[in-house]
Amino acid sequence: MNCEQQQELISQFIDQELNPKDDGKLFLHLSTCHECRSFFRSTLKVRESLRADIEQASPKSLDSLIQTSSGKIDSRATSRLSRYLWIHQRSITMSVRKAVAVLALAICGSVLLSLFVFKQNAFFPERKTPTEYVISLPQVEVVGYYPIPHQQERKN
Amino acid sequence: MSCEGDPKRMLTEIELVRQLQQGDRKAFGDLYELYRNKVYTYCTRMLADGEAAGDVTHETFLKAQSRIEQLHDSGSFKSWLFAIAHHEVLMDFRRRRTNIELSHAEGIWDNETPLDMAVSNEISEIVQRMLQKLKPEYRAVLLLREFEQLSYTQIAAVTGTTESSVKSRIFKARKALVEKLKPYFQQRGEI
Repeated sequence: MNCEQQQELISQFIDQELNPKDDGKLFLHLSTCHECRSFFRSTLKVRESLRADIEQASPKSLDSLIQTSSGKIDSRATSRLSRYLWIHQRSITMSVRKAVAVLALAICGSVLLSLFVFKQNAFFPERKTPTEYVISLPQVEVVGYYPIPHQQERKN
Repeated sequence: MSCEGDPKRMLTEIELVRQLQQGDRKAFGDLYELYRNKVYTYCTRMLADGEAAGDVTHETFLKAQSRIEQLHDSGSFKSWLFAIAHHEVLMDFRRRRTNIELSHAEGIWDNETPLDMAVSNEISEIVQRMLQKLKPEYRAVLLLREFEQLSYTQIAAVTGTTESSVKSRIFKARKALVEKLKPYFQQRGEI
């Protein structure tokens, strides 16, 4: 393994992403290679310098912008949801007579619907189409046929 | 500080994500509070433009809110949010046509940056300036690793690349920075 490959392992080691079985090989190489030791120290120095940079605060204007926009998204989502929930949440007010009429209509409607759906089976068993068996027998010619005497008498 | 190492805070974050998925608007506010500076800082470091970073951060949070149902693992909210931010940053690059062929570009540096361009003696400031000169795909992985302390797997998920590509890019970015800064470190006797 050359220095370039060893330095890639150093990078992974610094990130705690190096397979532990490669630790030994890496440290053996570091003990003999000045170049890679220098890379190790420099990488740590760069990391330290990068992390010294503090997190930046987002501008206040962004907060209000997000608040407004997220409210719009939220209201869009609510109106979408309300469309689905309309039947469940809608309350209808009517007089008792009207309510009874609506109920009666609903019952009649459902009965008619069920009659229509089930008329062939449960409600009108007599209307079931009768089963017919059609049997046609072939004509048979009987050779040596003589009418029976008492049938002849009847004819006379 | 990253909240990933703190189990108590992680639990809160998972709860907040679940509440947001159930339509609790307050949970969005709490998640925004938790991540607004992180996302804004990432965008600023990627774009080197505060105003554009603000716009991208805005867009990131709006997309996160509207697509929260698509997040199946509540525990990976941070990676998911940064993936949206990263995508928005790339979209901004494309809009400004500064770097369209991101993945096909050769080399590490966006422009050649001699050390003497650095005007400050502060090492951290020099490193920051160098970081800005790295190509976006190298800058992104290094930022996510050093500032957000995401694992290679998480960075791969954020940037839409493979873990081996992340390993390689982080190494190349570090090596490029070290090579540029080596004379400076030697001059100051720091290595």
